[in-house]
Amino acid sequence: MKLTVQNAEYFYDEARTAGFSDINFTLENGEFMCILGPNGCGKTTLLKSINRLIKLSRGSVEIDGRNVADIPRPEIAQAIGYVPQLHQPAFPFTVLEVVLMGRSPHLAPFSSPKHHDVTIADEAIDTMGITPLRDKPYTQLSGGERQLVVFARVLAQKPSLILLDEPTSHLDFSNQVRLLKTVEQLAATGILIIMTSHFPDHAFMVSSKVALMKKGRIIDIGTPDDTITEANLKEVYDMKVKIISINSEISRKICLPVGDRLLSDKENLKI
Amino acid sequence: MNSKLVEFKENRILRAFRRRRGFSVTALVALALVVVFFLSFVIGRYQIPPFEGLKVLLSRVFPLSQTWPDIYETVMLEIRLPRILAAVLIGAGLAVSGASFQGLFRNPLVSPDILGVAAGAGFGAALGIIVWGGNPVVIQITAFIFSLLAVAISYAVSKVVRSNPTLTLILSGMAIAALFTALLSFMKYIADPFDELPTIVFWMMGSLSSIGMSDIFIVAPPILAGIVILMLIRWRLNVLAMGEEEALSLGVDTKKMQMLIVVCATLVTAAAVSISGVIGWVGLVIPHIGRMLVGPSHEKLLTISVLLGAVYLLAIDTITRTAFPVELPIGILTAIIGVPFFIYLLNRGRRGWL
Repeated sequence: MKLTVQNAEYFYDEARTAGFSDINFTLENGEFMCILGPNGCGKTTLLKSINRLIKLSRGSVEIDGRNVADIPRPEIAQAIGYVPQLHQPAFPFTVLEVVLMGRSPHLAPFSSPKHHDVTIADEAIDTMGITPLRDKPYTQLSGGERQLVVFARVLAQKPSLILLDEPTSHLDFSNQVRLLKTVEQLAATGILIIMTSHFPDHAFMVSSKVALMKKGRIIDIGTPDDTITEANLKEVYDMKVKIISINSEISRKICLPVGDRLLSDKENLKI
Repeated sequence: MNSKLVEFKENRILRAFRRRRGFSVTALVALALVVVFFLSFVIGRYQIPPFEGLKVLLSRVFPLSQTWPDIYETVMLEIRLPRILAAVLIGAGLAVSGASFQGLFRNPLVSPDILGVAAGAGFGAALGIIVWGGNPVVIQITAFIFSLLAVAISYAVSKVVRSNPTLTLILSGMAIAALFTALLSFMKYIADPFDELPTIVFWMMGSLSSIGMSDIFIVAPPILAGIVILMLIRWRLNVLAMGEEEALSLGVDTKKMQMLIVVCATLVTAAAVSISGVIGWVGLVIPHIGRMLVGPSHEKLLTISVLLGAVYLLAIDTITRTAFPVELPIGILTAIIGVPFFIYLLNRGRRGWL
């Protein structure tokens, strides 16, 4: 699959409050893009415009040369999976029932999941390592467990592009890494991944491409090494960030938020 | 040793048990419906010996020589049959509409009246009684038209507002229901207190006593069509109940789906209300009892709601016409009998979805 976003622009209202503007990028099979940026910079909004949860005000999103604005909803969902930020559903469906919903775009409007779909859902549950939760009510799970369930659902959906909205935000250390590894494996099978995150470290760990956003614009896009620089992070987060290469054992770069450069040491002490 | 394997096996047995449990509960309720259906034919002011009654019913299908007095046939097939069919259709229809609306609006407190069906029907009936003299056919028609009109207005108003579509629909429904309730109060105020006012009041309490076979032929098609369509999309209701955005991302055309559910549930409820008057409680509470029995998934919930609604209203209607010296309006008994039963279940059936 090839995803092309061209001159994408989105206004919240008639006053043209921009959600984002001038967005251009192209992704192809197996690429893994991480969108970084401060709260409210338009990451989630951009993500939602890719599978037409919101309609672009201008510009286009194309998958394999077809504009998503012209593709019927079930077909979009067959191609693009979406993992939203967490929320509490009104009814305590079981984990299996939630994961089965991933089969929805593959089923005719008047039909229910068949044995075959249950098998696919069970495989997805197994992949996420949550088999013991299979028949538990989704509402009684912890935030992290729920995140894994929604991820299993997107696996059952079998899309070629997965959009992840801060997928690690409710997970503990080990589950964060586990989830990222799973996503990385998916990318290795040729599935395109776009993930928003608050952690530049995650981008270093798994992504092949990074887009840095600020105030609705992409200010830099490229490989993690080229894009996640101290200067860029300073610009995006208005804060001094130190990037350190750890060569022993993990051989990866890590980011350390140092603090507000505008404060002098004396003021820091007062706080 | 193999503790994992044992655990796995236990899980499998547990799962199979649960699945079968959902199935057996549904089968049990279906059986109850058959029993109550039969009992309703033979119980009443005029008692019919059960065995003779069974023969009368079977004679409709199998060629049996008549060994019973003609009056049995008259009582069972001409007097009781239309009522029984009405109770089954209305009970099933209200319950399944309620369950669908609760899923659509992601709110277990919603009843099929939420978009103003009952208020519209009440006003329509009052209009029929006061302006057109209270001919039963006229009342049915005006009740039906105004209940549809009330929902249509609610729906149209919600489309004007361009924000959260589900919430706006509930709010505009509440507003329109309040408007029609006020109009109904106005009609009551100007009604003749000795003649028209009691008619309005009794109509609002609901009754199946005057329903004939001709009424059944008119309301059965819309009620059955609505129930069938809602049953067909019942699994999609799960997806829809996860929220607008998630349903969209899972390929569900939420706008079309919302419209389809509103149209079906409204058609069912409006048709039901137009022949029976307002019967509350069934559409709100039967889905809850259903959830206690089979869990929240709409795939099983809608099936059990159809059966439970039918058996419940049929049982209550049979009680209304047998247990008291004077027949009580059914709308009173649905709650008086239903509430204690519901509280009993609430207490007993804690399974995490309340």
